[in-house]
Amino acid sequence: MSRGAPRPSGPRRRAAPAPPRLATGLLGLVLPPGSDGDALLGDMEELWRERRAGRGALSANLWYLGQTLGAVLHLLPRQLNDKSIMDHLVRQLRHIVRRLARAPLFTGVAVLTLAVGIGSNTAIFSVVDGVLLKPLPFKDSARLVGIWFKAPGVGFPTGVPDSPALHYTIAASNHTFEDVGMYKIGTASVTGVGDPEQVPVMRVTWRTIPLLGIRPLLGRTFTEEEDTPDGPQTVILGYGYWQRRFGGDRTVLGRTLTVDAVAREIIGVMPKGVDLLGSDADLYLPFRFNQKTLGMGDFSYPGIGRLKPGVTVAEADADVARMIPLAVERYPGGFTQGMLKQARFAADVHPLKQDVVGDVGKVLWVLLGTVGIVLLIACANVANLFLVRGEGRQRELAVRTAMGASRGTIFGELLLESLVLAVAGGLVGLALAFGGLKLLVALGPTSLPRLQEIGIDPTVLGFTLGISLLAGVLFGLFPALRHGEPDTVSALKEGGRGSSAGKRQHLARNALVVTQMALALVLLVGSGLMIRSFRALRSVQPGFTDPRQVVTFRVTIPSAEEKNPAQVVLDYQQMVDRVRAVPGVASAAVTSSATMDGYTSNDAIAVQGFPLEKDQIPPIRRYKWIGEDYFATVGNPLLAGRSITRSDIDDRARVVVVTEDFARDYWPDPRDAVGKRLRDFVTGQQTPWYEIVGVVGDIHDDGVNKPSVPTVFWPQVLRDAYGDTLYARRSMAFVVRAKSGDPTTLMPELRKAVWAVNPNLPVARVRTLAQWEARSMASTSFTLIMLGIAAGVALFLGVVGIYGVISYVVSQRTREIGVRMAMGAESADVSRMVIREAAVLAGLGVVAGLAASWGLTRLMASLLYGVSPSDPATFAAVGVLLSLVALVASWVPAYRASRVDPVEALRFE
Amino acid sequence: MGDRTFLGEFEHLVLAAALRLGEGAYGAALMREIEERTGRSVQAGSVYITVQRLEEKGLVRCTLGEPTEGRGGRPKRFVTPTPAGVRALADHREAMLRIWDGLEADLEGGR
Repeated sequence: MSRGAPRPSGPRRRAAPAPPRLATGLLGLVLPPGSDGDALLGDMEELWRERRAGRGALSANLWYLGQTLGAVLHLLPRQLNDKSIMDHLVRQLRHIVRRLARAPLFTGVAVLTLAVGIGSNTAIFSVVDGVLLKPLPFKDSARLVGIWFKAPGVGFPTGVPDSPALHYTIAASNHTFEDVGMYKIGTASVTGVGDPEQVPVMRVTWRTIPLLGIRPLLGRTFTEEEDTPDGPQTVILGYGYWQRRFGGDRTVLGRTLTVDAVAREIIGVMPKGVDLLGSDADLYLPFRFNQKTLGMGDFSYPGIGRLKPGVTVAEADADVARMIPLAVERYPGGFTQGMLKQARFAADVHPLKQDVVGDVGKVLWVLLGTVGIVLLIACANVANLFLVRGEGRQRELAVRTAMGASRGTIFGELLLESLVLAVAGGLVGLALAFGGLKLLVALGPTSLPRLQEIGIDPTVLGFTLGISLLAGVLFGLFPALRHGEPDTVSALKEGGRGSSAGKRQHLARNALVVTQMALALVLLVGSGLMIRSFRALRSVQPGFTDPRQVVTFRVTIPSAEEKNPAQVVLDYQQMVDRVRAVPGVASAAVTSSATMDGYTSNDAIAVQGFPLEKDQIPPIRRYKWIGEDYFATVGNPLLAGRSITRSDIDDRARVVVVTEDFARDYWPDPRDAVGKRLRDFVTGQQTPWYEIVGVVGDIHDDGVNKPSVPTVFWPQVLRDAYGDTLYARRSMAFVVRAKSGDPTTLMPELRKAVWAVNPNLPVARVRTLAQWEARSMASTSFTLIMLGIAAGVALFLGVVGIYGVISYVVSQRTREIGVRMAMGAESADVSRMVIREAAVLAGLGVVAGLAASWGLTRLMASLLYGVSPSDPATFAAVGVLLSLVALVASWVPAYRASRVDPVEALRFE
Repeated sequence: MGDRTFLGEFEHLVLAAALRLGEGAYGAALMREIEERTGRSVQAGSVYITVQRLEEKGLVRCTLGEPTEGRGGRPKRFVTPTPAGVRALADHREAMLRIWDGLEADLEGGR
C-alpha cells in the first residue's frame, strides 16, 4: 500500500488527521451514549481542525487535551447523578460480565494472572506499611528519636549506644529534649514462683516509660529514687507475664517478686500490646546507676529522647554533640578527650523508627520492587491475551462502528472491560494476600519488627484498589488504543490480513513479549545473586562443625544465690560433670557466650611488645570466658598450642586462647602467637599478663554474613594482680554435643543434671547451634525464597508469553508457510525461520533485561554476601538460561509450522 | 418555578449567542461566538452542560442535524431559543440595565 497518495474515494478515516485518541477515548467514558455526546465530539473536532490549520498540530492537540479535561470535570459529576447514565453503565457492566463469562478460559487466566500480581503486591505492601510506613504506636511518635553515637576512627561508622555518663549529662544540660531515657534488653531469673525461670526483661531509666507516653494498666511507673542504688527495690510486670504467672490478678500490686535473687515490690503492670522498642519484656526494672562512680565509657545502652516541639533532629544532634566534652569533664576516669578525638567520636541522633525497624527495611523495599515487577509482567501477559482476543473481535467492533458506535464509546467499553477484569483480579488477589501474609509472617525473619502491626487495613485496601485500577488502565490501554479505532474496511473484508493495522498489532505484541522477558530476567538475576550469596554463606566456616548435634542453654548463678566466686566455679564444674554423664552426650563445656548467641562482650586489650602511644585508643577485641573442652565440643580446630584445661581453671592459671585473625593482627604467622602475652587494658592500672597457649580457627560471632570477630578466650575465672580477688563468670552457656540424633531430646535429663547441683537455677535459651546459625541467615534465606518465588512466576509468565506470540505468528502465517513449502522450502527451513523470529525477541529481551539488571541489582547490594551486584557469572548464566527456555518455548510452534501440509494450508484459505 | 426564570451568567451568554446566531447556532459556533465577544476561552463541556440545562428549563429547543464532513462525520446539535427563553433573556437584560443604571460614571475610574 502506497503512503501519502490519497485514494480517490472510499472511507478516509485512517488517512485524515484526528484529535488525540487518548483524549477522545477519555471523553467516550464520560459522554452519554448517542448523538448528543457525538455532537459534542463533533464540535470539538471541528474547532480542533480550525486551530490545527491556523496554529499547528501541537497547539491544537494541547487545546484538545485541555478541553477534554474540562469536559471530564464538568460531565463526570453530572454523569454520576444521572440515572439514565448509571443505568447505561450498569447495562454495560452486565454486558461485559456476560461476555467475560462466555470466555471462561480467557477470563480465568486473566483474573488469576492479575490476582497473583495484585495479591503479592498487597501482601508485601501490607508488611511495608505495617513495618516501615505507619508511625510508631507511641504518643506523638514523630518527636521520638534514638540517641546514638559513632566512632568511625575505630571502626564504628554508626551504632555506638549511649553511655550512662552521657545520658546523665544530656538529661541535665540539653536544650533540645523534653525528656531523655535509656534502656537495655536482657534477661533475669525469677525464683520462688514455681520452677526457676529466666525471663526477658527491659532495664530502663525512670523517665523512659513516661517519655514514650505509656501509662501503666495498674499502679505506677518508677520514681527517681527507685532508679538510684539505695532506693527501694521495685519491678513492673509486663502484661503477658502478669496474665501467665498471676492469672491477671488485680491485687498483685504490693506483692514481692524475687528477681535475680533480690526481693522486689511489684508497683505496676504494663498495658496490653506494648511492644516497647522491639522487646517483648516480661519484667521492667530500673537501672539504678550510681552517678558518683560513673566514668565516661560503658557504651552499652540505647538512648531515646523526646524532642521539644519544633526542634529538628539535626538540632538535637548538634546539642548532643555539645554534651560529649561536658560528659568527659563531669565523669572522669574513663575515655579521655584525646581518645574520643582519635576515635572521631560524634553524635548520631536519628528518628526512633530507625532503631525499631532496623535492617529489615532494605529487604522489604527490594521485595516490594520485586513484586512490582511481577505485577508489570502480569499486566503485559494480560495485555497480550487481550490483543490476541481483540483480533477475534475486530469484526464485531468494525460492524458496530459501521452501525454508528463512536470511537469513544468503543474505547470506553474496552477500557471498562479491562477495569472489570482488574477489579476481579484485585478481589481474588486480596484473598491470596490474606493467605500469603500468614505464610510471609511465618517465613519472615524471626526478628521482623512490629509484627502485630501488620494486617489488611484501609490503607492497604486503598493500595490494592489503586494498583488494581492502575493495572487495569495499564493493560487495558494497549488493546483499547489498538481497537478503539478499528480499520472498518479491512476488518470487514473477509481474511483481510497483512494490513498495516495487523503489523502494528504485531509490533505491540512483540514489544510486550520483549518487556516481559526483560523483566523476568531482572528477577532471575536477583534470585541468582541471592543463591550465590546463600551458597557463599553456607561455605563459611563459622567456628563450629555439625551444629545440629550441639544444643546450648544458659544457666546463671546470681550473687544472691551464691556469694563465693570459687564456689560458683565449682558449681559449674559439678554441673558440667553431671551433664557429661548423661547417656547420649558426647562432650560438654561451658562458655560465657556460644558463637552467634548474641551475648557479646568487648573490651580493650594490650599485647606485650606492642605499646600504645599517648592517647591512642587500645584495640577493642571480643572477650569470651570458657571452661575446659570448649573447642573440642563445638568443633573449632586448634591451629597451634593447646586449649584451656580443667587444671588451668583450678590453678587460676594466667592463660588465654586467641583466634587466628586475632593472632594475624600482630604476627605474620598466627602460630607465633603461642607463648606471647597479653592483658586486659584498664587505664592507669597494671593488670596481670596472660600467656597465649593456643590459637583456634576464626569465629563468625556476629553471624555468618558478617566478618569473623578477633576474639580472646579467657578462663572462666580470673584473679587480680595480687591474686586475692577472684572474678568468676556468673552466666554461662552450656554447649552439649550429642553422640547422635537431635540433641534437644536430651534436655529433660540435662535439666535434671543442672538442678541436681542447685534446684533454684533456671535453664534458659535452649537452642541448637544450628538455630543460632540459621538466625543469622534468616534475612538472606527469606529474601532468597521470596525472590525465588517471584522469579519462578515471572519466568513462567514470560515463557507463556513468548509461546503464545510465536504460536499466534505461526497460525497467522500458515498460508505463507504453505506457499513456501509448496515452492520447495524444507520443513527444517520453516522451523528455522520461526525459531529465528523467537530468537530475535528473546535476544532483545535478554539484552534489555541485562541492562536493566545492571542498574537495579545495586539496590540490593546490602543483601548480598560474597558476590558483587554485577556478578558476570550470574548475569551470563541467567541470560543463557532465559534464552534457552525461550527457544524451547518456541520450538513447539516451530515444529508445528514445519508440519504444515501445503495443500491443506492453501485449501484452508 | 415561578413566572420569572433567573439566568446564570453562563446561561445568559449561551442563550444570547444562540439568539444572535439564529439558525446557525450549534456547539462550536456558540463557542466561537462567545469567545469572540467576551474575549475569554470557553470550555466545550460547560457549553454542553449549559445547553442541556437550558433545554431542561424549557428555554431552548435542540435539534440534531445531519452527519457533517470536517467534524469526523458527526452531526451538529442546533440550539433554538424558545419564546420562554427569549422572555427570560429580555428579563435578564432589564434587570441588568436597572442594576447598572447610573453607575457608568463610577465605572470609568476602574478602566
